[in-house]
Amino acid sequence: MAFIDLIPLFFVIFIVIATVALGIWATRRAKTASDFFVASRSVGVGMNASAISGEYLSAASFMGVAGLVMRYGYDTLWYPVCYAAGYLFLLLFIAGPLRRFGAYTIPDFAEGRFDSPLFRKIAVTFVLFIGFFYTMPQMKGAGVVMGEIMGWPYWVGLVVVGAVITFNVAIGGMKGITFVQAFQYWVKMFAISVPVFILMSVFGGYGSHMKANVHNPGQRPIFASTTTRDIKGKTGAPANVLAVTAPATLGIGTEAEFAINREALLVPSTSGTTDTLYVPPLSAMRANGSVIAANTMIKPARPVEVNITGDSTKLTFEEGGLVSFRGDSRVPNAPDNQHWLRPFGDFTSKQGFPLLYTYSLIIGLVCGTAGLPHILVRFYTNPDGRAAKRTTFWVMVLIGVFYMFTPIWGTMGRAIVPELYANNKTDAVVINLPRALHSPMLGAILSGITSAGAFAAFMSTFSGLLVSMSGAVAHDIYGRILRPKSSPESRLAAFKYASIGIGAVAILLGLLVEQFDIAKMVGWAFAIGAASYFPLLLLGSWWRGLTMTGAATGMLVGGLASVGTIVTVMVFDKMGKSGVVSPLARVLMEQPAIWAVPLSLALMIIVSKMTARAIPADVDVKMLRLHAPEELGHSKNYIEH
Amino acid sequence: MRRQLALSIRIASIFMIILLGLPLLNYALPSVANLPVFGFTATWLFLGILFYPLTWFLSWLFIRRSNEIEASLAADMSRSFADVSGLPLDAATPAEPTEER
Repeated sequence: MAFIDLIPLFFVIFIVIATVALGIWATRRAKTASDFFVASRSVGVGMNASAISGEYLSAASFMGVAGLVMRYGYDTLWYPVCYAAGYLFLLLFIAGPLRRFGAYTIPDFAEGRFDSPLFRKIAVTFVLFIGFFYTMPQMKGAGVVMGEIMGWPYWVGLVVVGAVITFNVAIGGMKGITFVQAFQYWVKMFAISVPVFILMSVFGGYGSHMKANVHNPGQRPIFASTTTRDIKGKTGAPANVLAVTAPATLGIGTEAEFAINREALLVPSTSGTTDTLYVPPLSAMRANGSVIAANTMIKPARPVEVNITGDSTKLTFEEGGLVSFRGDSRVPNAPDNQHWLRPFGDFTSKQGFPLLYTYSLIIGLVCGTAGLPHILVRFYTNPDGRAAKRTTFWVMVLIGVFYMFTPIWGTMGRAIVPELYANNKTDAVVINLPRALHSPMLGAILSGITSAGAFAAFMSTFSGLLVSMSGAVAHDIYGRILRPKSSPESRLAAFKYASIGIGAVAILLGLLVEQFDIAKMVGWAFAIGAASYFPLLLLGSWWRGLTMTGAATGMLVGGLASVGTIVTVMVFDKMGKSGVVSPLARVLMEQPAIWAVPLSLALMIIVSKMTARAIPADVDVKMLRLHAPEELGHSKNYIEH
Repeated sequence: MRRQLALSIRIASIFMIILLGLPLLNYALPSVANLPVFGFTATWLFLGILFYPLTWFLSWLFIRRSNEIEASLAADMSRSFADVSGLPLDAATPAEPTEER
């Protein structure tokens, strides 16, 4: 590799070393178990808001939103908006009461609210469900970034990065991470904003790129010159499809095996090097070739040039390979300007229920923010409920400013690096866009900055998730269920082993999800949180009539039903079986929040009414602790230290 | 708690009307939503940029009102506590002094 190709790597190594070193430095200062788990509740508002934002802005925010906006346009603006807006709900209904209640984790809340160790066990399972769902896209981010900057295969980057982060968590703990997360917020903010200003000064501003879309509604992105992309085979479904709009000319090698959804005409080469495939068959050429029926598997004997003049042509690759697109060809898989720019484009309209899809997405994202285990735990690091509210406000400002930048990347990526559409690499737009600059050095430096930002993103979120999940295992499963009499030292050891085990599982899961959009996967984790923890926290904080049986029923049914439908959709997609269920069912399965959140809430209310005798006798004391202002001295930390 | 909840619900309602109203507006009046404004469409400009300051404003409003409610609640309760016990508040709890005294 030339020196210039190594520049992004230097940036990435720098950020990893800085993170690990900060973690080690902070660990030396963490003495007690309480320090280790929630940083002694001594963190100031500015630091805590930066740390929460740093932990929250994951690969989905840094890479995924830009990628989704590039790929689908307006409809996916709901992702950043709702990621940010979810905090308003958290602030209005949950942040203050939860902090006053004084517990480390959601399972602590679940147990403390109902004095039920059984309920703790149920609640812990969702830390793991949501956590693993959330780690998958982070791992994908790691694989994609390393693939882009090092040319490593997806799995190599994923395993290396996953192992480094897991190791850091196993030796660090939360105290280190509070400080490190805050640092990483500012790294990410810098990396998403500064390069974009430089890029805009070269390629034109946000508004001018938008204007180009507004004024040419029917236009599609076009390859500027001949471009070669690596197309996945069946194992990469659903990303193994090229939806081509005419006119386009593609060169496909002999390693590929594919089917076309339309009739085609194969004309053997006269010189013996390249055959030609006409889609649809040109009558002038008919005599020279043989007609291939639609959807027939084609395994070219010689490299073949596919000449596409008919619209809505779809090539589905059984076996992938390098495909070259001639300059002036329309970029496959890219929506036209109008469908990209306007609401209800391909993302929400694919199944024919755009409003339903949009609403379900919004509900899942907004309610889901309150149901993320690794975010809520941070509210306990506020000194009191009032500080918790102030922290939330500043988090909304910090992440809001960040999210304003992400669609700019998507918009510019569409105009400048449209080739990413062809092989489903839009998630890598923040890394690729700077390389389009005429100065390779500046391009490499800016790409290094965004690579470092992406690293900060998946490192911080993955670390936070690992801490929450390992904490759940060490603190809840080991410390309270398996070995209630274990010493603090052995719990710390359990934490370290748990983080290594969970890191390994997360790496394995990450290997399975290369073809799914990062931000969409994170949206799914939100939807699961929305249907499980959000109803528990909302009703648990505000309704004295909630019983343990009611809360458990709602959380289990709503949460497990969402996990079930989402996993089913992912498996269908992976196997390329999209038409198995009706379009309406598909929408409801892909975005379950619109039915799962009300279902969970309704079950909690109905079952609680049925078991009203089981309302804890001290519910008024609990309510006082949740809601009385600190001045009255009713708050007490659930776990003393 | 009831006043806090009422406040939360009030602000949540304003927010929900905007959040859930926008897709409806996009759906029912696409010509308004897609009106060109500064190179953007109106709906993109709103959702992609202006929406964030709106959430900041609502959260700032909530925190201000919420802290007022807490302060007045704390004042009421410390007054009634003093009435019943004849003791000042800090004799019974280690809490910080309220603004009232």
